[in-house]
Amino acid sequence: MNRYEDLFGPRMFYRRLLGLAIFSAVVLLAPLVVEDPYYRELLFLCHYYVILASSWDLLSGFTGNINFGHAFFIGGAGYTGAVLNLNLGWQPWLTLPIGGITAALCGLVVGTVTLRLKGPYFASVTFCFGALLYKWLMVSSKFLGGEEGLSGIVPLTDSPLGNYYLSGLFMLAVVFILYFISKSSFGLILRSIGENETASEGSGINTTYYKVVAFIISAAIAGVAGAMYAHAQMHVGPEMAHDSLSALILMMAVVGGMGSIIGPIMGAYLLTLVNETLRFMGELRLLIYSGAVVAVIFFAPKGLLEIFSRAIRRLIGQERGKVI
Amino acid sequence: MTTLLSILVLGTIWGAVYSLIAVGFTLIFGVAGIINLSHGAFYMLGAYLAYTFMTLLKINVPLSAVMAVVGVALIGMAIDHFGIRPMRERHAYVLILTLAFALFFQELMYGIYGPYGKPVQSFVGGEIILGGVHISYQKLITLFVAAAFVALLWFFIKKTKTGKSISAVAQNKDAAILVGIQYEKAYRMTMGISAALAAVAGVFISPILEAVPTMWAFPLFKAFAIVIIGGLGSLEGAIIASLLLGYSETLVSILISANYSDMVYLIAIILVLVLRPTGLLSKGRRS
Repeated sequence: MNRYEDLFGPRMFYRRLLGLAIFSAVVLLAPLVVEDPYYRELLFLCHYYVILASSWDLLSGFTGNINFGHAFFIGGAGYTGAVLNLNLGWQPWLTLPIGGITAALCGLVVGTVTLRLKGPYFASVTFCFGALLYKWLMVSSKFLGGEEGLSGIVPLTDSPLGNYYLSGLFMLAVVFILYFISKSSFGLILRSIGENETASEGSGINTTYYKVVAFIISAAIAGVAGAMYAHAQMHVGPEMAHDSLSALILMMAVVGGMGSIIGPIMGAYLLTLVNETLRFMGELRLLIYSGAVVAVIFFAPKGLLEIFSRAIRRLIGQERGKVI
Repeated sequence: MTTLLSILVLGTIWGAVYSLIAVGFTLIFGVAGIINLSHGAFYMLGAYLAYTFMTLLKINVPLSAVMAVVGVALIGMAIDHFGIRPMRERHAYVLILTLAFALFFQELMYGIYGPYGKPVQSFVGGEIILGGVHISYQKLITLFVAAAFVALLWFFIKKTKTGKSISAVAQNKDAAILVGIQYEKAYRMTMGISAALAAVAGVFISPILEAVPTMWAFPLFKAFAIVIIGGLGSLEGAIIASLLLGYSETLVSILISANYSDMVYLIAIILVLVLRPTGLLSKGRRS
């Protein structure tokens, strides 16, 4: 099976679709087993991070342009939703889409002016947008609450179960949309930009256009997720736009495996759950956590997904010099 | 008049500190073509090692300063040798790996010393009053040390054989290999020098600012801004941009509010990258 067939052939297409269907079933049926509200909240958090990591992956994983300011869209949309809810009384069904649209518009503006830049330049300018929003949120104390942020936002739904299902369905929708995008010609073009941008330009592809479109989609998804998180926490603070959130999202996608749909899902679940289970370690938690991330990046630069798929193929005896 | 003078004096001091951080950053960027996101962590480690040696172990000032700088240089060379070397050509991974190292060092310092700032005593007490502006001797020493090290680096790169081999690798790696330069050695040495310069800044700034685990992030991105504004890999550009940044930040924090001083360089990066991506001083080279 060659690489093209591997990515776009019908056999792999249905096999992976089946995998996603099983994943959806697990997500939808999990509340039957998980009854403790604490764990439901934890899984809500997992869904939130899966959405963020896979939306980040659409631009950065596929085309190799590292976006260091994903929190710009998350925080921006979160605050937009919060302000609309607190001042105009708009409900989540309205503020979530508006958060997404706001983020998409920001993505259009930021993407148009910055995506001509490549590599580290793009990374630094996206960082600057995030840091600028963070600094501004910190000092604008009158309207946006400054360091304290805004509280008293209407909750997303009435119960942890409602939050779980809303975020879960949104996550599954995002995963399926990204899966079909990755199999479409649009996804192929994004991958070709990631392989060799100059060659793609040479083949007559307007790479900036495709990157901007991917950036807008990625920003819109992050925006809806940001507004959703704001409602679920009933609070927004400047830390929603902080660069440590951008770094965390990046780590999740990298630990799982960039440029694949499954990688960021895996990374987001893994890091969220590991972070939570290490809580008993107290102060050492973040040290162990960041040390583990360094180790994974060091020993498995392509992410855990590669290690797992290699192990599975070895188990079922398919390892015969295949390239993936 | 006093305001103008204090903007001038404080701007020069901060500009000198920034240039100390930024020249190392631009050096490794220009030579090895990598964005080293642990550069800010080297600065932080310098400050913490100074705290450890001076305040905790009570070793005298010059010896502990030297030990801190050499220690950080060795850490930098180790990261280059074991971490970056195997996948130097892949920018995204170098970016992420060095970021992960920076976060790791932050958590390490957090785990050992706790989240609160650790005060380091001044190397020399007292202050000088210059036209109504109070300048502590510590700041004055920092200014002179920064200027001396930047000059030393300049001399090293332009005049010594090792320095010339480093700039040869920066100009053309293949040609440098052909004339018998070991480029991996040049990379490692560049990393050590750039880490040492960041550590010098950290050691001398620690009595002024205190050592805290999160102190690495903003100097790093200021260095980034300086490199972008001054043009990639250009030492002259980095020094000029550092002074510009020092003056404009001091200006904003004295005339408007210290809260807005960080916004200056963020807006500057965005404007420069959007309007003139090659940097203000570079000759139109873009990579």
